[in-house]
Amino acid sequence: MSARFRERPAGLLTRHFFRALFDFGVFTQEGADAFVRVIIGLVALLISLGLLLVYMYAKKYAALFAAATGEPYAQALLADMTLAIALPMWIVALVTVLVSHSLFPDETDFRVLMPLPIGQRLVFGAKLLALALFAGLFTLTGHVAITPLVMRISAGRWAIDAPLLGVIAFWIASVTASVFALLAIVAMNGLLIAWTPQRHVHALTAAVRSAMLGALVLLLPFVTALPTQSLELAQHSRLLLLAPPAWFMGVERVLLGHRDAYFLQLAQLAAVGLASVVVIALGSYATLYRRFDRVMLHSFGVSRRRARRCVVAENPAGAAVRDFTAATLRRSALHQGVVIGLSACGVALAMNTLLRSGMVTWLRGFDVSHREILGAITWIPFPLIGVLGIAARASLALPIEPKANWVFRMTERDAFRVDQLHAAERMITLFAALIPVALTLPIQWIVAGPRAIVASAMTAGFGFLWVEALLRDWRRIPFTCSYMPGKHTVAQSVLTGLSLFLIVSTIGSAIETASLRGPSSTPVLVIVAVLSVVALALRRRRRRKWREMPLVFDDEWPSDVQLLQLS
Amino acid sequence: MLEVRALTKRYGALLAVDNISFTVNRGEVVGYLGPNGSGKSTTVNMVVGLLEPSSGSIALDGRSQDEDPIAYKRRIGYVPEEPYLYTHLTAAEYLTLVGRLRDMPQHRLDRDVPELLRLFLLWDSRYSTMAAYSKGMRQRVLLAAALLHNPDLLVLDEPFSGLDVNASLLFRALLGMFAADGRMILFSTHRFDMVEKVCSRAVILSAGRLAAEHRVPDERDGHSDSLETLFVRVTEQEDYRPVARQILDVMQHA
Repeated sequence: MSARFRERPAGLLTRHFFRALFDFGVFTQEGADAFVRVIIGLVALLISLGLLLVYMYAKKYAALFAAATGEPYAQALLADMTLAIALPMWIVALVTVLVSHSLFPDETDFRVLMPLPIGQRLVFGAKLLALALFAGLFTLTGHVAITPLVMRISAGRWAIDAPLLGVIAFWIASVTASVFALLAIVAMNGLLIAWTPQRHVHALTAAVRSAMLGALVLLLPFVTALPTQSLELAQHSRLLLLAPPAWFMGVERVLLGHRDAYFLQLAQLAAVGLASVVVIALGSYATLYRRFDRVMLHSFGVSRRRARRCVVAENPAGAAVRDFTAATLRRSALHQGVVIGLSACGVALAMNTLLRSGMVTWLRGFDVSHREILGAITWIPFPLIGVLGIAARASLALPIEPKANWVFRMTERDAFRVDQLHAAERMITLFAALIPVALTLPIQWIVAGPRAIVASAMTAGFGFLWVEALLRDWRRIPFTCSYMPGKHTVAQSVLTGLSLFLIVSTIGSAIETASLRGPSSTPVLVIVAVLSVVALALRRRRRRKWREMPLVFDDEWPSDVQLLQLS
Repeated sequence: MLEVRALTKRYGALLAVDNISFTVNRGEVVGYLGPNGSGKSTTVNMVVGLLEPSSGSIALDGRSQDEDPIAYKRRIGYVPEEPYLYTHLTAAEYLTLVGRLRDMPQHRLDRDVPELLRLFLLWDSRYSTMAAYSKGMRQRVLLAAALLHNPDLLVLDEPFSGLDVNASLLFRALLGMFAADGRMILFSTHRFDMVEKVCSRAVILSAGRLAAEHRVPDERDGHSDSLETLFVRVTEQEDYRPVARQILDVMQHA
């Protein structure tokens, strides 16, 4: 943006909207600053992962270029190029879903900006430009990260096209694919906002955004599995006509002058898909533009069934926090998104492991290594325990209307604290222990029969221990404490988390495997008993602490001086 | 009786409230006046137990706030200056939340919450979350929440902001009857007219110190401008007419 543009209303508004895309409205000033640092850390991580991909693919392509014929290379190239297009596409779709609360001018924009002497056209134009800049930032980062890989796979002995032309065609096709991903999300949101009855628009958009986030995360194993689809692509599989990244791989091929009927068909699908989302997205903007006043001034209704809550028998203050937690998770798109999005990561990781172990093939009756399958089914509880637990905790830690927490501050009582904090304990236990058991027990049962119960007891034991780890310093009523993300650097957190996860999952998986394969279940049951006793002792200690220490309503940076907390 | 004695609050080097003492007797509505930054909200936050005083004491009917903070808070109803509430809840859900946090039995909430919604003219919006409410409607929810548990002391921070004429009249009558019932109201505001209409006494604050205490004359006395005059004098407010003139001059030169 030129200095002159920046000073004009359009420039000022665009900057305002651009900043708003990073603002979830739940952070204090310190929290917002910390969040920007987390984003920068993630971008750096993304570029590092791009370089890691080059390293991972270098060996594969060295072998392909050394092969006697160019056919294996040509097959692999199609699949890997599809992956190279799919990854930035996925990133752009993910960040667009994450900011989908700000895709269109909203009620605040309407109330604040419309009384000013600026046109509606300017507001909509600035919003679109801010969105384009935001998406552009991530598109650029994604493509910068992936370009070294494209250069590596495009140049070599069996290369079909000139490497430079290959990179240019990739950028055109892949950037178009990312624009398609962006506009598809905009179109879906636009349709919802413009055409849903006003009373339900808030709840419905929140639910659909959470569903989109979950679906996108669950798609990741399929995206990373694209390189395994080289044969299907070479054989012109009809199934891949349903995969948008493959459409844009077709565009890339056509741009490089390949006139194969399959590529032409893929390119046509890309053109039709892109045209459709452009029309729907622009149409939604146009509809909102024409009906701005009516669409924006909607009421936020709740279903009448929900409004009648059940009569409770437990402590009233505990019931109050329980119902407050449930209502917030039901209605807040951000909290729902965090819990569903992160949980989907765990489920995706588990799914990926099962798919790669050959479980589906085994279920179809084919002969597959039983050891591989056993390894997979005893390992999947751990990503589920780890990630679902973190998802629940992260969601509960994010505040909603932080300044409204005075009502909890004013009514805090030593006698009620444990019951109030129990809402957090219940939700984290559900996600970190009960759901993983419920998801893995049937799969383990199919493979190992009744001995799966012992393995599930082990899963529950680890789950309860993880609950205690997550609640170690927890003294917050859900959603009421200010939050500062990124108290440790992203790289440090990722490294620590991964190391811990690898150690625990390796040991845990080995014990579970022993419980399914070993001659006797007794040693495993002893381990389960030990785990349970430790978890119970930690729980008792935590609850005693809850009774003694006051609630926390303001998040703080970790102190340089770490107290020993001996008393 | 609410007794505030030598109350002081320091934020590092800044002395926000300096050695303030006043009382609110049963049956009394005491206005708490002061210019912006005079320490009104800080005092209110200490009185309701959201802030801890640096020194001094607060006692309700002879029992110190420190002695049993929980029992003290149970006897207070509070309406904050800004309508800070959980806007993703409906008014009924919010009132139920507050009632349960105050340990009210469920059967009483089932009886009182719908009744209060009707009386505070919120019944028609009972299925809407408060995100769709106007400021006045949110203010009514906060007042209902403050009264729900039948408190002895009501602490109000600008409770009339955003209310329409009918709601203001209703609240004035309500506050008068609440005090007449032998309970206490501390009423922090910028509005002299409201203090004169609602309060029996006014405490005036300036730069964190108590500047004056003033018995509000009955409207029938014909001294309705005396509080404003006193306020300007004790808080050393300047004559604003030259400043107003300067503002107009700036506008006209633009």
